[in-house]
Amino acid sequence: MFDYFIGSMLIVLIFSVISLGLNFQWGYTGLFNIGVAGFFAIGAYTAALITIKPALPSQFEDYHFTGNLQNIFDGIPIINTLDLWFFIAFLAAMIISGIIALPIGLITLRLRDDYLAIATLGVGESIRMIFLNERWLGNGSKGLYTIPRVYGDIVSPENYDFIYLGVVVAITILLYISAYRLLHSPWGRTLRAIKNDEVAAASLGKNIVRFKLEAFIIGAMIMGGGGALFVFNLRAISPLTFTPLLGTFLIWAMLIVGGSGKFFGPIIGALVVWTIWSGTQFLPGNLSSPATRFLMIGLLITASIVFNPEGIAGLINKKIAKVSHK
Amino acid sequence: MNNLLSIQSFLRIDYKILIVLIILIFSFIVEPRLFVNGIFLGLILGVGSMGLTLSYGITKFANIAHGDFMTFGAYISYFVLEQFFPSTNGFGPFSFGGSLLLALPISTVIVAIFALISDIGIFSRLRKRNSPGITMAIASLGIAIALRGLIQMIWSSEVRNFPNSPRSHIKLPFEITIAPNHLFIGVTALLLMLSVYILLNKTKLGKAMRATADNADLARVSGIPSELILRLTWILAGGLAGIAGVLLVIFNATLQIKPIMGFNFVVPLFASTILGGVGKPFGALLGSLIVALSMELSTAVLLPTYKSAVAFAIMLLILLVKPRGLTGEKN
Repeated sequence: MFDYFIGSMLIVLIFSVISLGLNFQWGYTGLFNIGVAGFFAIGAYTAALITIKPALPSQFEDYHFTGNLQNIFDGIPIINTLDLWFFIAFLAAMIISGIIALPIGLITLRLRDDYLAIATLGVGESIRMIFLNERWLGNGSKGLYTIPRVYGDIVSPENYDFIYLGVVVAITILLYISAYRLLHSPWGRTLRAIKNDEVAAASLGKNIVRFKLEAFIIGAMIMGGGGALFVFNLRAISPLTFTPLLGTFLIWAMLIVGGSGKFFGPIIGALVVWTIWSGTQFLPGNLSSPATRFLMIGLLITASIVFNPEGIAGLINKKIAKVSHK
Repeated sequence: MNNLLSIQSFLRIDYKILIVLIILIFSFIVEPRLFVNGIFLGLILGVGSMGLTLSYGITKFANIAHGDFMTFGAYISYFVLEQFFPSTNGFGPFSFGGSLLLALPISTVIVAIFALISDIGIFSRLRKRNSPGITMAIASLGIAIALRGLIQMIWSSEVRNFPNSPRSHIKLPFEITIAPNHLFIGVTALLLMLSVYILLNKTKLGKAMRATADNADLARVSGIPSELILRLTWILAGGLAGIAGVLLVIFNATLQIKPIMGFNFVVPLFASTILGGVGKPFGALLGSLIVALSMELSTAVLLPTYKSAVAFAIMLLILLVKPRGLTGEKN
């Protein structure tokens, strides 16, 4: 039971990081990205590829591409014990995600709003297809699985989830603090001005496309970081993880239900939606099939947009405002 | 001077058409089978994207559920055929039964009604609230996911088949073969395109629709009831999507059907819509032919699973060089 709780906490936190990335794009800037899975996958595969150990001969696998970063650092004394390779993998995941986002943003952000949506949908699918079909890179549908444990030398494998939860909590807090600082800087205020009234912001001399591009890239980078965190949680990835349902729509449901454009929206949404999502497996009979989850996620998104566009965080804010007025 | 300009622009267009023709003829000679497949896939894509481009132009948002409307249409036909005509022999030269002629209009009507209901239930509420188009697009994403979930709940996510019987291809000179089903697709698609053309250009309703697509405010002050036009657009777009879904099933001789088929079509649908210029049904048809031909011809060198990536690459290219589409005027 306790293990189950730890495992759920890990997933919720990791998804809340990816939703935070989406909050930058959609919540604060109004950029419609339905290729979240693509950036999630890029981050995950980047982190995995530069850290995986070569497959054992008994596994009949041949990854052509094994970074084995941990091994490279093994000889160096302090870096060795600090497991610096993990942080390098995390940063690399962020950077590669950002690099993929750049051309997409450059092409579509100067056009109609919804072209970005369609383009990102294409990116998400194409990236998954690449990892599925290019066996030399991602080992096809079997995926990659010789991924090392973070601080695996210090703790025993049974306690891995526990120590890794500590790492994820620390990184999540760090990301949220940085996001807070960023959003309350002049840059963040400009983003909100653009979302509220693009024409007015432009008339004040703000370069709208540049701000949007920056928000899009930062969002994509956070998603990539989330992907890296995801990799070292399950320590096995395959293209099946990055289907639109799990990689994109679930994240959207989390953000919309939690409250887009609200600081704690992603984390509340991740908690609520993940509870509902993992709860469906306890439903009787046919209702526990993945189809129920599809239906539920779709209905959650549409119903939230129509009936509660402010999300749960918005409701809480209103309650607080009411109480403090009394 | 004026004359000279027009000659120049004429020459410029001519030269573009020439290039397209050369590419077409070349690809036809090299890969005749893929070329023929591409043309018929393009016609199906055309039926789907004509509906999409109309709803995109008139409702001003990208309806992501359009692909899943297609899937829904296909499954309605599947339901009708499976329930009432489980054992049908092929109808004439076609691998599907004659009962499809009954199932096809039922699919059309039901998907049209579904589209209308989603407008009344969801999109019109958002319109009243003056939501931006992008919020409506997210709502349509929700509809797309929920609809696919519903389809999977009822019919499971396995691949199924319409009742069918095998048929051999029709042989033409130059070693070209055409599947009989493709002829049915061709005739149906051309009839639909003709009716859409007549509707949009020869009837008052169609003119009102085009006016709303061009400038909704101007249309409203001229006395065109815009809410009614929007509802009719949804009916038309939904109906076309329903037919396109069924045509997509019979494109394959074994009449395969699976819940993800429509969603996989979303990127090609939008690629052809943008290629043709949003709101222009016949631009969308041209775009569809280009996109489908490229997708089919790409399988000569790439894995077939990269087809939608090819559509995506074409879309990015057109957004980069001519974001208003091939038929669009200058900004």
